[in-house]
Amino acid sequence: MREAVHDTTAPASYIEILGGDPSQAVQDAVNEAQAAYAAVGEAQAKAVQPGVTADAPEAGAAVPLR
Amino acid sequence: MLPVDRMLLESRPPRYVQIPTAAAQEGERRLAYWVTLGRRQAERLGVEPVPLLVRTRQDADEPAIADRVAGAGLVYLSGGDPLFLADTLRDTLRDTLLWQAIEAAWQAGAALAGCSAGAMAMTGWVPDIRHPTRSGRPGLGLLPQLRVLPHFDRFLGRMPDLLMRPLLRTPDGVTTVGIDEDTALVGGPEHFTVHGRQSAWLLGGGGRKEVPAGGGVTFPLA
Repeated sequence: MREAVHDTTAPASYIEILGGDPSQAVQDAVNEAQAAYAAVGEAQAKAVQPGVTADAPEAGAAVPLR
Repeated sequence: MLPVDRMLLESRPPRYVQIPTAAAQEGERRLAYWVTLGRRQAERLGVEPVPLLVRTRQDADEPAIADRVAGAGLVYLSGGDPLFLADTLRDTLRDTLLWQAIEAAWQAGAALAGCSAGAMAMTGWVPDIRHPTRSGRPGLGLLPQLRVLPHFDRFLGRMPDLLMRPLLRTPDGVTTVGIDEDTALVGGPEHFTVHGRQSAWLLGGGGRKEVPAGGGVTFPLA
């Protein structure tokens, strides 16, 4: 999906896109999110084993970060 | 990042407009914390700090607030701690007087910075990194050819590409880029240089390509 494109004929201006600073709050969020991704990974692994039913979160399932 | 902010402000008005909206829903203490960080950064740079306390869309449509963007040398969308606040930032600013003022200032020559959630929100699409099976939501659309994954080294950098696959599905002409902490892409709207302590990562096509500090990268607009 595309959003409106700015006027590229306008004077060139800089953009700075920052990856963020380290912080404990981010680390907490990361830990919880990684657990959610690990659950998906386990489900994917099960799904490729014959006779084992996958238990992946359904599309749209919420995985709270905190 | 002080060296980059200093470079951006070298030839621009000494006015540092900070918009800490991404932290607004974390409470007044956290908002004050981010404002303090912004004020200290402005002091280190020797420029005027202009924090705009925009908590709601109503605030963002307040002419008295939007007018304060005028004359900015740098407009900084600061982060919030949780990455998931990118959509809050988008919902609060999109199609408001404040966002119009920011775009106008940028097109008139001001630099624009977005950190973490602020960086994600500037693009055309914000991946929903909380929900591995969801695709995401529209962003503010300033950089429609990009999707940004911040804190990449800590969050997604060590994950197998298989798990990241839902985040990497993009339309033609759109690139997903991971940016490590203490690192920035600077330039635009198409040509960027990596600055900072670590790297940016071009993701997709079944792999990832590292672009270390000093490296250049181009994201063509359609």
